[in-house]
Amino acid sequence: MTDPGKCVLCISDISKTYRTEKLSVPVLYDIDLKVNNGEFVSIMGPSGCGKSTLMNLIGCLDRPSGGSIVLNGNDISSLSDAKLAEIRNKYIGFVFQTFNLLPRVTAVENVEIPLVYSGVERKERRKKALEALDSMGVLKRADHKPNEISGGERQRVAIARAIVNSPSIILADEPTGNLDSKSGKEVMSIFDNLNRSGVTILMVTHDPGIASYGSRLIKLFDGRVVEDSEIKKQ
Amino acid sequence: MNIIDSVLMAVRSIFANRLRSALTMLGVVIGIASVIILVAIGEAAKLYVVAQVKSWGIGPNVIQINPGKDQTDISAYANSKLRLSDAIEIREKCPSAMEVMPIIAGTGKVKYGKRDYTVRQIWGVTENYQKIFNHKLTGGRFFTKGEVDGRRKVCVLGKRVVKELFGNLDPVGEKVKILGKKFVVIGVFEEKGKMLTFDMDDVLAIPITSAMGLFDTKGIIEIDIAARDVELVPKMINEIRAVLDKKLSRDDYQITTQEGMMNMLNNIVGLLTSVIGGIAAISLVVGSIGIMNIMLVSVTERTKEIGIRKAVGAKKIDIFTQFLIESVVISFFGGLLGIVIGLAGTFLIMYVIKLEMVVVVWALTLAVSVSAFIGIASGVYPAMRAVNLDPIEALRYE
Ligand SMILES: Nc1ncnc2c1ncn2[C@@H]1O[C@H](COP(=O)(O)OP(=O)(O)OP(=O)(O)O)[C@@H](O)[C@H]1O
Ligand SMILES: [Mg+2]
Repeated sequence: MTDPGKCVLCISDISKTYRTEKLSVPVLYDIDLKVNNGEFVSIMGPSGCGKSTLMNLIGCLDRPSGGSIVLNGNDISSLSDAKLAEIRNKYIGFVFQTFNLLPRVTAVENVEIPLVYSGVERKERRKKALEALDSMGVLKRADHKPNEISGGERQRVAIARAIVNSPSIILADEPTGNLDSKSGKEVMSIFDNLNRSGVTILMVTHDPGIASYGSRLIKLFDGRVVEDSEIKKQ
Repeated sequence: MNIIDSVLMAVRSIFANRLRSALTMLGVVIGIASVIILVAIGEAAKLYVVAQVKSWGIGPNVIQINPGKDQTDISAYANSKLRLSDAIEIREKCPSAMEVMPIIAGTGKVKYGKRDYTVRQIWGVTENYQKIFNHKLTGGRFFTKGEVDGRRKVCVLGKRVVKELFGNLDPVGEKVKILGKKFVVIGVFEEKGKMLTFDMDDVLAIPITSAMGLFDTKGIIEIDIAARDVELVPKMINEIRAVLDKKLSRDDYQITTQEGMMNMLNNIVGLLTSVIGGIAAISLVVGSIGIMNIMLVSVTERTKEIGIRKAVGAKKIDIFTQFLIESVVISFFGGLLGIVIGLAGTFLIMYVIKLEMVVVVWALTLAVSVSAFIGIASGVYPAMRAVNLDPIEALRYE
């Protein structure tokens, strides 16, 4: 089925249990998943089934309770916090439902942030950020603050930030959740183009129409993968 | 992430919250400025006191004997066991002593015609008063040995006393009543000004023999003794002790050299300086609490920002330096501004109270290091809070 040589994300047998003081809440059980370079995976499932939890684990924002995650050849379950930060910076681009742009700085400065943390020099930083904004079609919004632009434009700025460091994988958790259908479609066509240019995308969505932009559909239910199928393009 | 980026980021975020940052800075500004001003005033006061003491022309060869064990023993003045006979005996038996000048002091009402005035310091002294103190006359003469021995009722007035009783008239030759007894004014002291809060022109000198009767006392409060030479001071002290120890215990009298006198004055002023400086330093602590408070608010307010930064690759150390640098920048500029205002304030105050401006380098150095330290100390804890935020929860924060 999958070619291990092209495997960008290799999840074996991971589980996640949230532990609070007295309670322990098991959320994910024995997830096995391999994602190849260039795939566009849509993840669906009812609310509370653990989609965001899975994305956070893949995105190195949290650690699994068991099992291993190999991203681009790095076994991230055994890395230090600093190393995880570096992985997030270099290999992962996040796109959030609520955009998560810094409100007080301009679009181009928002896009520059990942480059700041990878130590790119200022002029180069600005150039790359402007290029990323240009490729998202929001170059003319470069000097606007997030509250001065529309939701669709904000999400495109956020995608520019996600791709500016040329990540191996884009993790999008309900990227169209806060957008009207027209803006949602625009964002999806951007994802489509990115995917065509070779970027691997993992996207969580509740909307089957949005999910159909992907090439593969994974359904989660109660913390387990219950369906993993190819999506036929019309 | 490099340091220039960090500092620029801190400056931007400080400017994004202009008013709040300025108010936070104000705490440090006031603290640093007041430390600088108060220390400078203290140092100036020290120089001033030394200059004042020197203006009395008391040579390094002069020592003074006072009642009591040490300078803190104020009550000993009221029932001094020193007697005029002791002064006379010292004059006779101490070959190293050149001048011996005993003093009795009191205060009392002085009348001239219908006017009266209560003089702060009425001194009973001997004819050699002016050989010890540089206290010149502008008119008349000082009293003689004959007048001292003869218990004559003559007096020399300070400028303030003249002004109060005579206005612009020449008092020499006039009669005044001191505590009801008639005295003839024979001289007027030159103007001396104030020493600390003490008005050196609010004085009046009479022969010590008359003073003993007037105040009905035998207790001498001070004997000033000039040695023939500075080198002879230690020897003279031994000679004096040999005389006094026969009659008095060591708890009954004390000997102070000029050096000891200066040290004591410097200690008093120094102590005052550190006390006020210490109070000012408290305002620095308050200022630093202010910074910490604002930084904590800022961390909470920017929880989401911290989550976003972590998600796109900020390491713990990046978040830590971001917040630490912010508080250091606030307190550093607060410190700089504090120094500028402190120096300007010192200049202004010195100009108003007519003291010489002193730039106390150690206080400046201290102020700068303290403000840097405050920045770090009050930034570390909030920065740690930021570092330890869980990125997922931080991203969810609204
Ligand atoms: N920090 C936590 N502590 C305890 N339980 C948690 C924590 N985070 C999530 N959970 C629980 O884990 C389960 C899965 O949450 P998750 O956010 O992954 O769901 P989801 O599939 O993304 O849902 P939605 O579609 O609503 O976003 C939920 O039942 C949730 O209550
Ligand atoms: Mg979710």
